[in-house]
Amino acid sequence: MSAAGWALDVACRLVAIGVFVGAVEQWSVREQFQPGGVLFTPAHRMSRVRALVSGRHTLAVLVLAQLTTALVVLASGVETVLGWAALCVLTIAFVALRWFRRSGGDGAEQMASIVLISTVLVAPAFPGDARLALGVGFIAAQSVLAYSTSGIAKLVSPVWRDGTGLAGILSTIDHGTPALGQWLVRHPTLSKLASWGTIAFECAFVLVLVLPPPLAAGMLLAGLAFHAACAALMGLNSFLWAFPATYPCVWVAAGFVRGLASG
Amino acid sequence: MTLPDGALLGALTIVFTLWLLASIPNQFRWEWWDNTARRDVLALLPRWTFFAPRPGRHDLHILIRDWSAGSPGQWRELERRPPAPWLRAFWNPDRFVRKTVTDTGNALIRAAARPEAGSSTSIQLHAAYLEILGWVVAAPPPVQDTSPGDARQFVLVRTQTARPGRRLDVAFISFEHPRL
Repeated sequence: MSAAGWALDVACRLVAIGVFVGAVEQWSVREQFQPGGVLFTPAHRMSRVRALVSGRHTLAVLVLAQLTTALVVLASGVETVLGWAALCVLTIAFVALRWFRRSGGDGAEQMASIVLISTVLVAPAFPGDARLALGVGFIAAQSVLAYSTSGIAKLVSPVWRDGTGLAGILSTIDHGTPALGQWLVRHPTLSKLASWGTIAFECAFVLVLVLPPPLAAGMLLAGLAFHAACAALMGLNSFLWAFPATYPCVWVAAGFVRGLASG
Repeated sequence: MTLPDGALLGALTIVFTLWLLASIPNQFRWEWWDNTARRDVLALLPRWTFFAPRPGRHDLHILIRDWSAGSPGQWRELERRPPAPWLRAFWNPDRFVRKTVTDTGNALIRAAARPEAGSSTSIQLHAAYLEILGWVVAAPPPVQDTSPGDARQFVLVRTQTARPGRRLDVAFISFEHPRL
C-alpha cells in the first residue's frame, strides 16, 4: 500500500464513522422531516428534480444506504473494488441526503463531502500513484485552507482578540457549556488566553507542512485535542471525525513538501 | 485493471484545481461571488470561517402562544431537545434542527431590520417568516388546553446563558395568524 493510498484509506474510514453517526442521528429525528417539521421541505419550495426524487421513503433509503456502505468501507477500506464501490454509493447517499435536507448542515459535512468525493474520483482501488497523490494533496490543501481561514477570521475579529467572543459562544446552550462560559466571563484574562491559543493554533496549522516530523505530529495531536474539546464543550461531535480524517493526508502531503524542499 | 491514467490525471488536476480555486473566494462575503456560489446546489464549496468574525453569542428560541376569544394564552417554547451534556461529544441529533432554527430565525430578524421592511406587513411574505410559521402552526396545542385556540402568534427570543434569571431579548414579534 502506498503512503497516499494509506492516507486516503484511513481518511475514508474515519469519515465513514462520522457519516454513520450522522445518519443514525438524522433517523432519530425523522419526525422533523415530516410536514410541519423543521427539516421538512414543502413541495412548493422544491426544485422539479427534488420533487421527483422526494417521497415518503427517501430518508429511510438514504439513511440505510449510508449505514450499510459505511460499514463496508470500515470493514474493507477503499483500496479494494468492493470498498471503493461502497464508497461511491456512500458518497452519493451522503451528498443526496444533504441536498434533500436543504438546511442544518455544517462544516464537518463539507469536509466529509470533500474527502469522500475526492477519494471516489481518484479511485484508490485501481493502480495509479500520481492520481492518489493528487487526491491527498487536494484534501490536505482544503484542510490547511480551513484552519488558516478560521484562524485569520478570528484574528481580525475584535471580540475574538479580547476574549469576549469565546466566553460568549461557550455561554450558549447550542454551542457551549453555559457554566464554563460564565466562568470565563468572570475570568476575562483566561478567556483571552484561550482565544489567542485558538487563533495561534489555527493560523499556525499551515506550518505542519514544513515542520520536522516530531513537531508536525505534535501539531496534529494538538488538533485532535482541539476537536475533542470542541466536541465535549460545544457539541461539535461531527467535527471530531471529519477534520482529523484529513490528518493522514496532511501528514503524507507534508512528506511530499519536505521531500521537495530537501531536493 | 488499469484506468487510462494520462487523460484521467489531467482531468482530475483540472477538477481539483478549479474546486480549490473556487473555495478561496467562498471564504469572503463578496456579493459578486455569492451570486455565483448560489448555483452550488450540492454545497460543494466550503466556507471555513467557523464562529468568526462575528460569533453567535446567543441562543435563539421560538416561543408561541394561542389566542382564544381575543385573549392571549401563555407563551411556550417550540419543542427543543438538547442531548445530555455528557453525551454531546458523540451524539447530538438536535444539531440539525437547532442549526436550521437559528439560521432561519436570524434570516427573519435581518430581513425585519432592513429599512425597507418598516412597519409593512410584507414581512409575512418573507421565506423565513413563512417557514417558521409552518413549524408554529404545526405545533400541537399545550397539553392542558382542550381548545386549540382561534389564532397563533410567535416571537423570536434571544438568550445568553442557561441561568433561570437570564435576560430575554425579544428580537421579532409575529402577527396573529387565524387557525384554519
